[in-house]
Amino acid sequence: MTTDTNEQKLRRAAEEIFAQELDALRRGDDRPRPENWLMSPQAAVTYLVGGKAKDGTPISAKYVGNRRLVETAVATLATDRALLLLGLPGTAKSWVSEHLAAAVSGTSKRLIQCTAGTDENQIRYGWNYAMLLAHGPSMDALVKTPLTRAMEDGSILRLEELTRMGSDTQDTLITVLSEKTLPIPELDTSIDARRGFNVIATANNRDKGVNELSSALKRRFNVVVLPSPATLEEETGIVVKRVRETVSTLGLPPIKSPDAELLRIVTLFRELRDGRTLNGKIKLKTPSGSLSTAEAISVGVGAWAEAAHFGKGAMAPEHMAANLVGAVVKDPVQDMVALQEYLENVMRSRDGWDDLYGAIRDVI
Amino acid sequence: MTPWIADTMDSRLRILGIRHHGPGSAALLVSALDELDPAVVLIEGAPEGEALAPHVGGDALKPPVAMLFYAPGEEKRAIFAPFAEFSPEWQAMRWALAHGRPLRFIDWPASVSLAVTQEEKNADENAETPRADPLDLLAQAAGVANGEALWNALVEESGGAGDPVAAFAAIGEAMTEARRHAEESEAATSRRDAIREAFMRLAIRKALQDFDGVVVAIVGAFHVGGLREKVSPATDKAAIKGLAKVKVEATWAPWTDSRLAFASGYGAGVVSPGWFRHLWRAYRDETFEPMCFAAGWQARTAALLRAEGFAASPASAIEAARLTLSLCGLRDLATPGLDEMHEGALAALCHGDPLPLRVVERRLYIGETIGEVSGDAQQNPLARDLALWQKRVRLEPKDIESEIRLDLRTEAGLAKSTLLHRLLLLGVSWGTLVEADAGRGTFREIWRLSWRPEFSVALAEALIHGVTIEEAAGAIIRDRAARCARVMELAEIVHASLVADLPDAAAEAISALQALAVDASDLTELMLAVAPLAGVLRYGVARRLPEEALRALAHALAVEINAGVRIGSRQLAADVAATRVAAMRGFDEALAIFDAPELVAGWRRALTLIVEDEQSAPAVAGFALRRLLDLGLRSADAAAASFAWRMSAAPLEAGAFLESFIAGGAEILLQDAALLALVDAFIVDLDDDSFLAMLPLLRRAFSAFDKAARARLLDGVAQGRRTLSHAPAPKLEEDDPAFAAALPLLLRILGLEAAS
Repeated sequence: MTTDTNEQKLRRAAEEIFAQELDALRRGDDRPRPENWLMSPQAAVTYLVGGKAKDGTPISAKYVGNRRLVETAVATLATDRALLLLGLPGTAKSWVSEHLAAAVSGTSKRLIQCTAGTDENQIRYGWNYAMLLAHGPSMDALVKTPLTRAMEDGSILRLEELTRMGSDTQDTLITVLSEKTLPIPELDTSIDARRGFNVIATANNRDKGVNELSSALKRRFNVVVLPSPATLEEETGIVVKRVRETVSTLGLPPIKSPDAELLRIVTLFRELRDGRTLNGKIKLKTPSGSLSTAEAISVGVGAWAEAAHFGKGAMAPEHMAANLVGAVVKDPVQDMVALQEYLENVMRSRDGWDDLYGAIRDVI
Repeated sequence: MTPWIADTMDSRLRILGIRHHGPGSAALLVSALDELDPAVVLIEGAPEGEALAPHVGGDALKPPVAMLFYAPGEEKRAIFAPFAEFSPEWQAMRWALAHGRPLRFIDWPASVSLAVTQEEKNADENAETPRADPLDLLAQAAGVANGEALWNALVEESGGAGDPVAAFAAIGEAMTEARRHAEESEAATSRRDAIREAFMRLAIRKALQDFDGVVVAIVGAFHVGGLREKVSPATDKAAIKGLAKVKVEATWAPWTDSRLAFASGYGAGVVSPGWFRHLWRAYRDETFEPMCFAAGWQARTAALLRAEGFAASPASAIEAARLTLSLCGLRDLATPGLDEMHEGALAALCHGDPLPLRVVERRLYIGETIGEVSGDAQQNPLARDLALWQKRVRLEPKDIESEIRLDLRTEAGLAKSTLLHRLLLLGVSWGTLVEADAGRGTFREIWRLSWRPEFSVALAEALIHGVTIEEAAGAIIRDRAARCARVMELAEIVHASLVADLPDAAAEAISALQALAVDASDLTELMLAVAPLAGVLRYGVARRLPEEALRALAHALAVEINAGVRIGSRQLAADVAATRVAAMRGFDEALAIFDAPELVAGWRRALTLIVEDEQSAPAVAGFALRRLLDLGLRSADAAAASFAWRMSAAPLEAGAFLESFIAGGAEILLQDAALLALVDAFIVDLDDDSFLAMLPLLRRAFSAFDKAARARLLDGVAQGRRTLSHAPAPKLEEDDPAFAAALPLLLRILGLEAAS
């Protein structure tokens, strides 16, 4: 592949963008590295959380957050246990997975996108039927998958959105993860993983209704939960920034800066998500929806659009109310109870919130 | 190896700096004592404790235990010096006793420290900036988060390996240097520390005079620098001259793991006694092996998780141990620390979910060990407090059963009742409440009293909760409230704290109840909890009440009920529905006397929804419809429609509905013309087939009334229909002269004068 085509790509892989940093880290790495790893675990952690390579090359931070989580993730891969990254939408699961694979194996492209339509053949191997008919079963007639390739060259396989794949298909992984081998009964042989092979899977941990991991499979993963932003300020900062960005890409008309309203949206999201008020005094019911930062952003954008097109140049409670209710109430029964409780116990008595209280009451 | 720098005071002196309750310090200390073989062991502790020390060698004590120093008659003034098996001081005492060496306690006497009144303490704390921890400075230099982490990594979690004497020399050097820096940049040593160190220096000098051979002083590492300072004996004597003193008694008291932990607020605590115990046992084991160490801890974690019903297989525990060691490698640690263990368990045992770990956290990190003090227990302050109470309220302990009647409106009666209720909390059931109408507005209690000797033991056991009856009872309430997971139980705890006159503890129990109510799935329990609350708030009791908190609680519970009752009324088994209806009736009455219109409105909305909800349990729907009808919130037509609709359900359901709809006795049905008309109209409208099908149900529903009542009901129906068909409200029979004569008076009694 030439550089030209690389630059034509809409998005380049992590190992291509950060080739220089990876190179510098590898060169200066004098610590022991597990077999078939391109760098030591310590260097991999530095690559993720940022720092300096031995030769002084600055390493940018790929993951802004708790260093200890990254350490746990890397240590997991070093013990040849599979790693499962859980988190709400917008907590950088795939991003971390891509960079870990790039740091450890030098490639983040051994990737299976798991969907409801993914079947066993796309995980294990398929058959080239023309070849199969002409010459009978043989290794040559086998169509390899990212999994078999990763096993053969001892690299990291990435499974995106693991829980979106059917449970029976998920369970194909059990033997691979515990025995590190993939039997091919048709040929009376097996593909044995080289050292360095491992799996990083990502999944959304509050997405109810998709396929839960079977406990047998769950046991074979070490799980790292990537948390939502730690503080109200941090999360509000992210939401304000992302809402502005989205609004400008969408070309929505400008309105008076709605920071204070966005702060209220984030406050409501955080309180319901955590099941208690910010001051920790009142316990609340948690709605079934994930109430992720990503959803707070879309509520913000929705309210902005409504205010810009139908409002008086500023975001008002009535613009937010319907969007908020839609985001909170996913289950019409349970979530409505949670929201009503929140309205009566928290919003009604909170200073300066009565306008929003009234607006939401009107909607429901 | 750091050479031992001869102390300025004497070359025979060895000052060993330790961390209180540090297992690494303890392991190092034992080896150092073996090597130094001192003639006398000096320990940083109040000299009054010396007399208690010999018990440490015997079997009478099972740590954790504490030396309790208190001023008799003023039990609120007390200090505890707790020891765990992994406390260096404990091990030093054991070493000295086992080797037959004298033990001396060299800290300032408890008689002096207890004389420092609370006001003086507060003044001291305000005047001084909190003492800058020299360890934090060292940690800063080493690039570690804080002094605690540095000390743990260097000493407590290092396995107690290496040359112990050299290690103590190095600790002494580092701490002296660090403290000098701290004092240069910050305020000088606090007055309190200066006095204590003066006492210690004097005691060390005395020991050096009294004994030949090596003198070992075991003190908190912070004090090493202070004790090495060149201060003349005259200055030290001047520093301790004229200090106020109180009379002090000392005794052993059982201690608990949770009180060893920081949270309990008793001086130098440790974050995790459970972890330190694990470390200590590992250090005592000759063949220390990181894998065994990690696996042992993770296996314990897994076992605790399994006991709570979480899936945590032994295989996963091994994976957790492997991950822990891998993390150690990544972080360049020789042995895993608590953080590595925690992260390993989180990822491999709990699938990243912190909740299960939080459930077992208390038992895992803090532990549940309760110390024991057997043998000749010294009279404890709780027993003294009880004696004072008994004198004050004139209630003597007798073992013959007797009965007393208390009038809670009198001060004496209330005090007696408070004492007896508090003692019940302590497990001292001196009195048994025979008639418990208190709390419902009556002012009388009858108690049966009988004192049994084993109550002294209960008092001794209660000592871990506090040194006065009030304090201990409050602590027990808090403890129970924190553990309790059932609404009714917690409501009883709130009640117990109110009758025992413990408003602070009650407030905590109340907020715990409020938190619990949010998760409570059983609405019946919530409703049952509201009714007595409303009664107390409306009519009051003869005690102090945290009215504001109670009102907020009742309000929150009611909001919870209003929000959940409609959904909660679906799919109830017949017996559950029956208790629910009873609870709803109680709640309905409670709301009526609890002055909050918005709650009443919410409740009525919920009742309407229940009536209209097809899935509501029939018995509940029957009650709801009846209430709405009684309140006039549903027009007769609408009510009749709902009634007929419900009655068209399957026979069992229709029966349950009818039963709860007409509940309340025949008399009500007779008096309430509208209600009777509704039921009557429904029955009359049935065609023959339906009537036959309905007959068993009707018989069953009406069988609750006795025979006479049923006969009168029948009359009533006949009469009522006649009246109703002509005129809905009966007219006054004004042509009867006797009635006409009585009428003005009647109108006045009924207050209808103005209207007529």
